[in-house]
Amino acid sequence: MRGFLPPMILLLLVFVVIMIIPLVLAELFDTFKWLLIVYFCITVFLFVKRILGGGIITYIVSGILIYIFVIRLFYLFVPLYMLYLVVSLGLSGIIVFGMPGRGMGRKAGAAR
Amino acid sequence: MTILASLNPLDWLLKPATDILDTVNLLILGFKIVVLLFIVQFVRGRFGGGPIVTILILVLGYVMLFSNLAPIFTTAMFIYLFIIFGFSMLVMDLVIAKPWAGGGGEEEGGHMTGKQYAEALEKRKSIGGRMR
Repeated sequence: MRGFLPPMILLLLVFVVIMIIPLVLAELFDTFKWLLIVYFCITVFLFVKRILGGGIITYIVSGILIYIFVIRLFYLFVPLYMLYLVVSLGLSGIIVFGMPGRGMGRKAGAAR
Repeated sequence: MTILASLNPLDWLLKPATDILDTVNLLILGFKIVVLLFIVQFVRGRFGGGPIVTILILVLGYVMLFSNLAPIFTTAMFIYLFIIFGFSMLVMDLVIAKPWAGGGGEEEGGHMTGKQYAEALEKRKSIGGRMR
């Protein structure tokens, strides 16, 4: 793999693919898109409820945020959320340090 | 009338630009609401509830989002969100650790078995080199 693509570009490609996969699936399958929308609505509502508590303000702010991020900016929000998931769950370390190169991802006999 | 308007080349140029500007403005509005929520969380976490706290939230929200100091505070808030969401760790991994750029390669003998080391030693002796 080394020499075919610089590792940094390969790494960026991996992250881009991870970010784009849900969008592709959402384009291919309408059900998946609706599942994503419902999931993001619940996520946004719980985020607002955790801060503001229950009440009418929570519903109003949740509605505004859902309209902005989930309905209008869906194709921007989904890749960013996927990147956030990968980074916050610690999967980015596995991806970065698992890349083929001279570091930890290289097998012992690969140089010979 | 609509057909004539769509034939205007200026519309073809301006339409994507206005769309992008609309999207950016919407993104900024969403970001400001999220920042306001973080301000609410911070102030309520420190001072609890009550009318004075609500006034404090409104003042802080105005200063951080709508006053002349808003660009400074929003930039700081953006960096803060960048850090707490963990993107800084990713950047540090890429810039400082550089996992593909060395550190434990075969040349330094970090992951070599005894057999591989002996083979490498023999090979270097045969070409007149010196094993480190």
